[in-house]
Amino acid sequence: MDENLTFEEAFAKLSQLVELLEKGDKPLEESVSLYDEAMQLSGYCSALLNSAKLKIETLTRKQASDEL
Amino acid sequence: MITTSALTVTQINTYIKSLIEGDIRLRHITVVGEISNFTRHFRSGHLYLSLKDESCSLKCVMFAQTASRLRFQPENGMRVYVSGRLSVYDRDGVYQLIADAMEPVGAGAMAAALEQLRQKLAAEGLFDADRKKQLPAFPKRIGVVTSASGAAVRDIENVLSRRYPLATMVLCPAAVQGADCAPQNVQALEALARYGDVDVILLGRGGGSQEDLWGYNDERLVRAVAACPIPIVTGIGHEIDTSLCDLAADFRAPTPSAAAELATPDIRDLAQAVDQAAARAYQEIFSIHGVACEALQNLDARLASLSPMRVLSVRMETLDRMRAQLISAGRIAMERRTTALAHMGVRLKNADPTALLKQGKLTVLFGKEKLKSASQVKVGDQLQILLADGRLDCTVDAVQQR
Repeated sequence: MDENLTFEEAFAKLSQLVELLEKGDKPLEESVSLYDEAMQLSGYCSALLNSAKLKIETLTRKQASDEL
Repeated sequence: MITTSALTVTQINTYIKSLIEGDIRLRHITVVGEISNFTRHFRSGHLYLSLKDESCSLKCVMFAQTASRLRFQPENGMRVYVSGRLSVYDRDGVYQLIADAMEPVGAGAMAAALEQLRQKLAAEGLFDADRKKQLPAFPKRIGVVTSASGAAVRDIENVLSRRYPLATMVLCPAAVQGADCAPQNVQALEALARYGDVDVILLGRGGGSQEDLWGYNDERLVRAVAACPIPIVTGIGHEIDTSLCDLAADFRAPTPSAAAELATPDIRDLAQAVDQAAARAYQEIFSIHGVACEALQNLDARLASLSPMRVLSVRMETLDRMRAQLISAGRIAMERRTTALAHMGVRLKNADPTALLKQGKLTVLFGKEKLKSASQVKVGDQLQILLADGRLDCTVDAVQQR
């Protein structure tokens, strides 16, 4: 799995996989691999949420006003 | 001295109070004057002040509930209009104005100017609902325009840390009151839009007097908010304050904290959504697996019923059964015949024509001897048959040997 996914991307993909699974029209083997991927994504999402810490940057008005 | 007609202090104060409060002209008055001796009672929140002009002074009180609705901070020296009714505080023998409204002199003009500007900008469509931009569901970088040292920036930081720590907060500081407020906020919006790489902007400050918040009604800032390509959520002052910036913004929150909440999903809801998705996936694979297992069992059962061994064993069984039937049928038939044979034997015995002879009941004489065999005689021989009651003399007509 791509470890650079944002939460939004990973969650969107997870939701997609769950919907695919719920359609229930995939062969067993494919369903199992969809399930594996969904479990990986949900673990990844949970890990992102658990480890997240707000980052703070400061932008000065000068950068803009100098050019104005 | 006529002591017999002396009144008590209570009597006179009560009488004066009834006079003043009974005067309909003193029930709804507006007084203009300058504030002095201003105090806010630290526990009750009531406001006490005197209104004065060049020569006179009038005591005023505004009760806490009314005071909480004030849109500005009264100060000593401020010229104000105070409306209310005149009453007497009997304990001190003092009459005072019980205020139910107060506004600074000049506020009416300011309000009129504000309303004019609002109408002008509204006519230009700056506040139109169809101009409002959608907020991103998962903002990655959140711009914040407020004072770097105010309470608002700490409130916003706390809310973002708690609700949505996945984001990056990009603070672009600006003055939140005074003459610098509007131009610095405009610059900050432009800086964030150009260099901030943000997908939503929170703009605002904590509560203050109407004068403090005045910069957020500045036409330049209101236009900059409306023109900003990035969605803006305002949180300016408290619930009761509405600035023109609030009207121009894409979303308006009552406070800076509320603006931060409005702009972000709650990480707890997200965690729950992730868990639910995982649970749904599990549920689904569980049921898919269960269906497959059941189908497999059905197939197994069908297969077993179709296998050659099964067919053979069914036939063997049939054969066994048939054999058993055969054996049992044979035995029954045999038994029946044996019985029948026995009966026949008895009947045969009974029917034996020689039986009488054997029993000696009938005696045939040939000459002087008892006839014992057919072979002893020939045609024409004379035989005598002795019966119980007589004798028959017979001639042999024919001899048939057995």
